[in-house]
Amino acid sequence: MKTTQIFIDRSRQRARNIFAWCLVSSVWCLICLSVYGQTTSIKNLFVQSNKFDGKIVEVEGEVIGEALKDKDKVWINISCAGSAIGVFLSDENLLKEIKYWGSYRQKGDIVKIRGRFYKNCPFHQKIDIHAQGVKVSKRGFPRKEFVSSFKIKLAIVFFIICLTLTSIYFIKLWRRK
Amino acid sequence: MIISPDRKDVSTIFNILGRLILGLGAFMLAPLVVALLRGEVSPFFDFFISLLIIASLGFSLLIFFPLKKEVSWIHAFFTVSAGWLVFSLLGAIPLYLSSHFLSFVDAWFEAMSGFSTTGLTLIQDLDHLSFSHNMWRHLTMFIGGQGIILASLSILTKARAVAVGFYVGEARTEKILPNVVATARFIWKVGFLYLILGVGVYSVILMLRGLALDKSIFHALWLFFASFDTGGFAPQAQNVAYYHSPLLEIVTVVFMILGAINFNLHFWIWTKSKKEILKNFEIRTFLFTFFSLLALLYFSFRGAGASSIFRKGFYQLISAHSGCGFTNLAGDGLNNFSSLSLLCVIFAMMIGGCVCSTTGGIKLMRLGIVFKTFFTEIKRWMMPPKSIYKDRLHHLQDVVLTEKRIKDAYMFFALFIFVYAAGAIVGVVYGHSPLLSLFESVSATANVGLSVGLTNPNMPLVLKLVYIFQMWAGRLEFLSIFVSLGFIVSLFKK
Repeated sequence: MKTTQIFIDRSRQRARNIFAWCLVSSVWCLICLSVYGQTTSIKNLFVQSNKFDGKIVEVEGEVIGEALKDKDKVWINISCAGSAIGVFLSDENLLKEIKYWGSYRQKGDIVKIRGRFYKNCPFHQKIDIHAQGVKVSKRGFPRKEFVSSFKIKLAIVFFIICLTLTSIYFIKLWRRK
Repeated sequence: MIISPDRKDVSTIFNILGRLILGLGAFMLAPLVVALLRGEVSPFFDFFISLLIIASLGFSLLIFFPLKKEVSWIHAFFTVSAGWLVFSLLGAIPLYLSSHFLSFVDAWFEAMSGFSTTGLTLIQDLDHLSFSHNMWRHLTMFIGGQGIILASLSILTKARAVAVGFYVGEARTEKILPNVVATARFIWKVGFLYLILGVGVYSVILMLRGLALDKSIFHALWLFFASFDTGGFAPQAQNVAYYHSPLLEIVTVVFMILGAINFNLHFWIWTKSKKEILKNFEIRTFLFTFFSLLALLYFSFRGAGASSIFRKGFYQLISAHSGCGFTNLAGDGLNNFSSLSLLCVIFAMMIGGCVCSTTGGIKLMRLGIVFKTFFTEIKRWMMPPKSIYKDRLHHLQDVVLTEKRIKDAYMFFALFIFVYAAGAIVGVVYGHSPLLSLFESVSATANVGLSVGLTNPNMPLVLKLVYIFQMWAGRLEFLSIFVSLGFIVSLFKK
């Protein structure tokens, strides 16, 4: 009888332990899932850098400037809502999809970067993302230059004023001589 | 008896201002040509309109305010302080027309930041700014760093008699050559020589990084303006961090230091003795302050690797000490620094570089004198009462420390500390933490340009105006501004 009781208690204890492990594991998985591959903004990466440090993240931003060579690797910079971050790519082929780079002349492609975020990269000693995948989510476009009629009118008015004043000055100078 | 200006003085001042404004117009031809060459139509109109406004104002002043008196010290001080204000206002016009600023005050802030070689910025969407506007932003640093009035002075010949007044008014205390105009020209020659060297080195690095040839040259030129003239602007929003190049960062360190060195010392090393660099009082003070702060910074970064300390700590510290304001930190950057690290950077910004250089701040010479006299005073107490002790320092030659020199050093030291504190108080009034407010205030007054985020387009208007004043006053080292204010007050007392 006593042996049976001990057996039941042990079984209950084991069941409790298993339940506790399952609970802890589920919570841990949930925490991991909440960070792993999470789409976030660049600004948020900076603000919550401790949370995302060393994790796989997904960010979206306009690709700026040009690809910058680093031996056989390459860097790109992406920008979104006033925040920008450097993205390190070990495979240059990942850039094939990118057509427009943000500059005065064009609005850059909006790219979705999936990669590991480092608050203090062990390889580059700075905040960066080591990309695993680059996907263009919105194509950029060439920016058209626009000169407002107000500017043209302003230029004409000041041109006349300037010409008049210059003439007066040089006439005065000539008379003095 | 205080000399109070009359109408003739006012007319003379406006006449000189008119000439200087036309000089500014000549500088604006550079971005205009860039816009033309690169086919940037809208920026071309921005600069064309600005140039016409500047020329109209310049000629108006020359027509309506003839030169009625011999140019004297009163005119020199007034012209310098008013000149910097007018130049920044006029320089802001093309920036405002670019539509990259929320208001004209923001554009004025940017122009003042450029001319005073500060580097604080309120620009929006910098990554899409045209080449010509970027050219102007960076050129303002070169003009300001070399000295606006000094630039005009080396061209104008009539003002030679009071050239010293303009020279001192722009916070330069040492003449390199016996003639001030010759000194001004020498400073420009030094600038141009390093410009060729700097653009060459930067271009090669950037081309190796994959930038196109023309873009490499432009970026190299701008980076040179920003590093040698200790300005701190950069053509991309991430500043130096954009390039992801440790080599480029090292080269910027070299040019930042070259810009922070006394022009007199450049001259001395080039023409007289190379050993002077080891004996010079300012250089020794720099080595002492820099390595003391670096040691503190190392302590605050404990746990981080050597390369991490270089890229994060050393670079920011040298950038702050030289008054440049370049940063290789992306993201929130300095906001991730501990309070101790921030304090190290603040102290470095407060001190600045050498006198007669392009940096701001208290300056190494003055700080060195303050320390030296402090220790001398202790020594005096330990000596027999009747002993006579003369303090000396080595700056190009052995110099006896006179009472006037000591008084000047203490006066400027006190003035800078007062303005640093006053700006910080305004920041605190607007709800920012004392440490961050002090950081931004020191950065503006010492013309550094590093920021912890207080400077942004959405900051209160009053704070923008306070920082504009601090950048202006810090660059001119208060003297010409206070003298000018004194003259204005004396006009009302008549």
